[in-house]
Amino acid sequence: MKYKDYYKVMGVERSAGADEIKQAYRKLARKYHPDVSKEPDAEEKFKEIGEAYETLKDPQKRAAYDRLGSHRPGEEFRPPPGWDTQFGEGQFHSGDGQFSFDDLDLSDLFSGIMGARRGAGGKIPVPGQDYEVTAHISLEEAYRGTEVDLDLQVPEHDERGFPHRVQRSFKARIPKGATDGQRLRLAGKGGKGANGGRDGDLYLNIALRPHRLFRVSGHDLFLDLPLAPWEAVLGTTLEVPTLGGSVQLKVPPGTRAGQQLRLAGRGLPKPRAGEGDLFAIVQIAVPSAAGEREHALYKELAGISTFNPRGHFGQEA
Amino acid sequence: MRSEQVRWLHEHYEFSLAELCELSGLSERELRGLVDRGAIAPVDPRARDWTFSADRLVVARSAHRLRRDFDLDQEGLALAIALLGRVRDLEEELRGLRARLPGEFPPGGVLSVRTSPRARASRAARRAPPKRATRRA
Repeated sequence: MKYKDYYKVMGVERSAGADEIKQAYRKLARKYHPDVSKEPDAEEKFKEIGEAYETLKDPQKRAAYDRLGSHRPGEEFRPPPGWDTQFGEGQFHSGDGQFSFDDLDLSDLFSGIMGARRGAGGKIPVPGQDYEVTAHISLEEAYRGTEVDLDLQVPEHDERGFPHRVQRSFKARIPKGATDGQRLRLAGKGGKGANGGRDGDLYLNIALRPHRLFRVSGHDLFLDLPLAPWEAVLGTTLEVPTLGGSVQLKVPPGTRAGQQLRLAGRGLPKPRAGEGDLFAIVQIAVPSAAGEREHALYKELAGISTFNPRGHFGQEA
Repeated sequence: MRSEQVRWLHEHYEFSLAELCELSGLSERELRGLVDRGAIAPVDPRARDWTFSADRLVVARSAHRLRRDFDLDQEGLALAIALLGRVRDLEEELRGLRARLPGEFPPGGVLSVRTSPRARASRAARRAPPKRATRRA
């Protein structure tokens, strides 16, 4: 079992009082709480802080933790002899000497203490823990629907009541129509409930990976559409990529930069019915170097055109 | 390995008050408190038995975590939920606006350009110190 320094996680001395620990927790929670924080590693960090606080705020758990001694974070260690009898009410002791602490997480040791106390106070149904994971999928996968492999390390109790870390793997089908920030619920796929409590759920947060061409807003897609100046003036028909394959797009004459050409129903499918739209945003692209003949034609155009794109500059307000 | 059935937390599915409490961890009193303060809205507030669109579960779970982790009272919790809702709406609006900006923004980057002599002269005139008035004897 790997050692975790809960005092270091909380940023307090080993001698810190209960109030000091509570204050440190509040400060860290405000910074890393996943519901309010924008820190990139907030979820992981808050889990560590929560685990440390859960143990240090409870005098009995804290005493049990302190008795484990001080080790380097991440160092393999075993509780000292007699620890299990003193704090774990013997639940980590199998009697046949076969039980090992190796597949335990430090937090299981302390939830075990809590569990033992709960057990002594009567069989209260305890619901299983809910888990939240983020599935990063591509836009193409969101368009077609996809299957993701989920690997979770979860605490489970065996038939003798010993906690173990077990690897649970399963596939989850993400139906088409997913978009950024949406959530899926897999009922009963979280932690196992105890004493008749319901099993926890697994929540899957969808995060779309950035795409080379398309930007996403809800179920609508946005695509930059560069046009040559003459294509914008004269209009043209061209091929544009969509998630369902290329389509022909008719650009009307006199199209201006910044205009959005809407391709109805070419966005992401919506969960129940219908689709979002694809918007092609016009940009006027200019060649970085024009040939001699082109240059001469532009000069001729400049000479004969009466077009003044900045006519409004001189207007009074 | 079997593929698991999943469900969108989407407005087309609904939970009863009891289901929302069970799934979020909020007590009925807490959930009713949030509804009374406008932080979570049932589908039809006048209905005898409230139902909630499934996406309210995200808000309810968040409320439960905030209450548990910050020891918030009902008023503080309702305020936090309302503010988080506003942050979420603004982030969504920002995401939408960003999607509408060209991939390269500004297109072509920022170019430093020279100004004409006329513009330079008028700027120099603006910068020149005012002439000091001389006192006549």
